Amino acid sequence: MRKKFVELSKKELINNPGSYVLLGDIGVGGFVLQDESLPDRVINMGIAEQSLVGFAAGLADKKANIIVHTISPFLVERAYEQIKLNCGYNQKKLILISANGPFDYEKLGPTHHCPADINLLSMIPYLELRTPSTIEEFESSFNDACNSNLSFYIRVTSRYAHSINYTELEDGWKLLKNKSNLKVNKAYLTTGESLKYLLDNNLNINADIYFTSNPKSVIPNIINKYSKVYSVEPYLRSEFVRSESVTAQIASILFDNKPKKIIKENLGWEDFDHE
Amino acid sequence: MMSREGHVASSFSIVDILVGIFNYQIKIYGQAKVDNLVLSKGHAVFALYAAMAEYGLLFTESEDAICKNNSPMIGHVPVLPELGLNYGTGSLGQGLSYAIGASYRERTKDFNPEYFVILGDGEMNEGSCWEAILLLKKFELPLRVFIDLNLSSERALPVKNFIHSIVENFDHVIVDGHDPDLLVQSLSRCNKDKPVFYICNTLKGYPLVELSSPIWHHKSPSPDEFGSFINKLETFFQ
Repeated sequence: MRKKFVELSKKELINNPGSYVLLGDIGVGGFVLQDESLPDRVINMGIAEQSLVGFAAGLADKKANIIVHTISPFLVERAYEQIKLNCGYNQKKLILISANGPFDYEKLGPTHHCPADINLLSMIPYLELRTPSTIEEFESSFNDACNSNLSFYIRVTSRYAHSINYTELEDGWKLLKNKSNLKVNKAYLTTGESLKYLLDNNLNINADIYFTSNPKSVIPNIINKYSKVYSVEPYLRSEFVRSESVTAQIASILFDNKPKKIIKENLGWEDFDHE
Repeated sequence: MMSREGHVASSFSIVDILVGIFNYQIKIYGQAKVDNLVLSKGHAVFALYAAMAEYGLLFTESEDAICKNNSPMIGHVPVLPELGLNYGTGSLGQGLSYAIGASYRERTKDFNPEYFVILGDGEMNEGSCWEAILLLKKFELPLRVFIDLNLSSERALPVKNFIHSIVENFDHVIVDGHDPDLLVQSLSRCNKDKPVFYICNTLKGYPLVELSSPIWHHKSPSPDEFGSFINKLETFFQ
């Protein structure tokens, strides 16, 4: 997805002379190749996320797209107020693209996790959210963002599913029929990284999968035909209906079976438990 | 003043800075304007409203709406593009980085647009200001950055000496922030293509000495106090 991000960003820069890519000292190598000719509109802004977003807001223009890219907790959580005030209050259009999904950097510890990104950003007006599950969804999300008057946050993840045979439905939903191609009574609703989990674990043998890149999507009526419907986005707490069993399973895999231990060991919470 | 809301003392602190900026703009551009001015210490917006009204940028009837219910003339800089107010502020530490981006956007090979930014010295407690100063050094855009050094926040987290240190990295002027003519002179002489910092020595509440007390930071005068202040101001200006 990050390679596609670079490719699409370059395309946007070529097509729109007013557009910029602002990097928080990450992903620079993807842009700054010796044979490239876009250095003046790809700016490495250093490690200054709050001012990065403020600067981006100053650059914002109705005819251009200002793409801001850095590691998700530093973008979303450290610069949250700047995003709130610049996108929500001042209504400056920005395209915020994370460098990672919530737990892509799981081995680096909780400083680099950002499971709350969607929950936090969902409270900001004039800001659309996208959690693409595939490269194709990332591309359509990116293009939607470039063509919209609203700001966008797009969560890039390394845990994406590869091209799959799906049917387009209304409102951005896609249907992946069960492998058995039978009439089944079970369906999964999913977005983001969880699609990959479902497919990697063959959970679609006897179940249909509905996925979307928009975590605020209204659940399609078609799911009423199923007797069992599970939501699988363990750290999103979106408007999907949740199912405890499946989300717990997925969480246990994504969190390397010891999510709380990772957090406790790094923040010293275990000491408090013993008191 | 009728709403009894807002930050009166902080507003008095920057009145002369605004007058200096507007007079300079008139001298150079033929008109005063606010679309290239960012009042980052947004709580001092009463001074901006007053200066805009004085220079014909705000209908005087609008003054009666300030801080009234449902009025767009709120107690911090509002987003009112129709008045040239393109960027709302209020949360400290936001304005400088925005102004750098805006100036960067508007620059051309032959033209570097001036932006005027007013920061508070207390606002300089915010880390985002220091980040933005690094960006300003990186891009070397012709921002005129006024730091209202009224020292009112030194009691909490002293920053004065650090401000003086950081501006050493730029063209800078230390100036009486209550002398608009001096500000116009300094602005007229500055390098047109580079950022310049103006350390404006001011008194919070100037010229109403009693407003320099911390209790007046977010206190509005009672009707009696208001009458007394008006009398003192009239005497001062005589």
